[in-house]
Amino acid sequence: MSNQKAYFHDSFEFAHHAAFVRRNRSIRGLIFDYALGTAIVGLNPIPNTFWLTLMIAIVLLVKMSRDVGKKWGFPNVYDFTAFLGLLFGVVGSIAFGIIVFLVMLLLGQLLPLLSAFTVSAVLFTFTWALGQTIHHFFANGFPKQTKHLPAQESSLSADID
Amino acid sequence: MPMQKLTRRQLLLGGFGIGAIATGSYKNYQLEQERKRKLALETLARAELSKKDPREKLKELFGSDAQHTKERVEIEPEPAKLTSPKLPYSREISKTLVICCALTTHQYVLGKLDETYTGEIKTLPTFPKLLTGYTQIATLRGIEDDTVDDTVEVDVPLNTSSNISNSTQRLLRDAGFNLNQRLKEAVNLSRKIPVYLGYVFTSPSHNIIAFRGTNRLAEMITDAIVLQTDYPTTGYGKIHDGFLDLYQSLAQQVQEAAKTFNPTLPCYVTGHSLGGALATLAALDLALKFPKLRSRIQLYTYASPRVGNRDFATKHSQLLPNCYRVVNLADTVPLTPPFEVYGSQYSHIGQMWSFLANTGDIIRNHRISTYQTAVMQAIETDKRRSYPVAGF
Repeated sequence: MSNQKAYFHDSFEFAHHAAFVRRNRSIRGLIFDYALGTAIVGLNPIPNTFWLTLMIAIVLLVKMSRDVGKKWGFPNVYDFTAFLGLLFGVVGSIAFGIIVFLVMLLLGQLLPLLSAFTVSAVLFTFTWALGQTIHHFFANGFPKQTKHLPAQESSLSADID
Repeated sequence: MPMQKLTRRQLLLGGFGIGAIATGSYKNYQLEQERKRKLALETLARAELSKKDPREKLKELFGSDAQHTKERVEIEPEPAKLTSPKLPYSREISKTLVICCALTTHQYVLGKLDETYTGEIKTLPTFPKLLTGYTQIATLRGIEDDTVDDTVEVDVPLNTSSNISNSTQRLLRDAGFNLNQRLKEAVNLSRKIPVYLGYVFTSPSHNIIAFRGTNRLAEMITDAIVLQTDYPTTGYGKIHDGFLDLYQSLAQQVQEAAKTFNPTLPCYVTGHSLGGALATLAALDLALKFPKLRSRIQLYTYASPRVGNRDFATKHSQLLPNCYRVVNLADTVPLTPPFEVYGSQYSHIGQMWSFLANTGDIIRNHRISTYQTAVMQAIETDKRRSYPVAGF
């Protein structure tokens, strides 16, 4: 009797874990795609259109944040540490962007052709880092109990990267 | 064969690849254009350069250099219209004064080493018998104390237990004892010390005000501030900003001491190096503040740098004609500040009495001991050099 209980328990735990992993992979892929998108936008070679590049990048970033939240079902997050993590994550993303900018500046001095990819590299890094931050923030709202899963999983079952 | 549908990722990667090629190509085009532009500019510059004769340029450079040299040499014999001294240079007084200058450095150093020292010259171990007749009426002290760091080795006490029976423990105790005998720890101590900058002596026959030369980093910075400022009294030209600042911190003390002077007695103001500059300013300050003392003031400087511009030197000389500057011809400090620096002009004050003592070292040539030796041997002279000199 006790063994049967344990079996059911393990099964639920496994399903719960598998659902988390699937969702994680799906969102990771989504973030990567958005990062590629902003990187393409950053390759814009037309002079005097940097403002347009930035505008499109901002739109993409907002849309990415919304899509990531949507994938998690916009759960209510009551964890204080999660909010702190979001704050540090956003600051860290900006810092990453600055570091990449400086590195590209240096590389551009060594190999001038590389300077053409500075904006692209910065946008890719920033989008990736920001996406991960938002992803981790909403992950904190992932239910602890397996019983919540079926309803949520139905819409995500095919969403595998 | 049906065409396979592309995934979002593949489309994005493809887009990125095309974008990268487009951007890279455009950048490459830009760089190529820049290279061509630079090449064209270089060709133009070379063409422009080839129009000029390099020899003409060389002539210009040497010509202007020679012109500058001439200008400077023209200034040197008459840096300012100096009034000739009315009293002759006294070797005996100079000997006393150069010793007084040396004692200012000893005073500062003892103040640095001994916390109980209060600046009394007579308690210096180097105090000579020659000065026994003098009474110290003032100690010139900087407004700010200096901080010195001493590194002291101290014994480190180790606690050893007395009731040890075990042989291993005894061995450790012995080892600890040995360690205790040998172990010392370096401890850094910071303490405030007074900064002595000179003193005032009086005797039945005359008074002496002596200033110390550069010893501290702060004073080196003072020396380096070659920018000029107006002398506080209008019409006295411009002077070295750093020297003025330092003297102004001492002016009150000098004036207080001078109030006690007998105006019928000669007043000798002296100093070595930076002290020479301070003495120059002190002499003028006293002459302006105590008119009765003016005719009695005599200035003897050793290795003094230039203090002010031509107007200052002229006015100083008019007011105080009895000024003498003793210089070692191998000493670089009296050559500073340059005649012209950052648009400011500098000129020496006083009748030059020179000697040559080349010890082979820039610092030794400047030391007060080098000057003291020369003055004691009475080898300084105001005559022209008898050996061949490169000149104009």
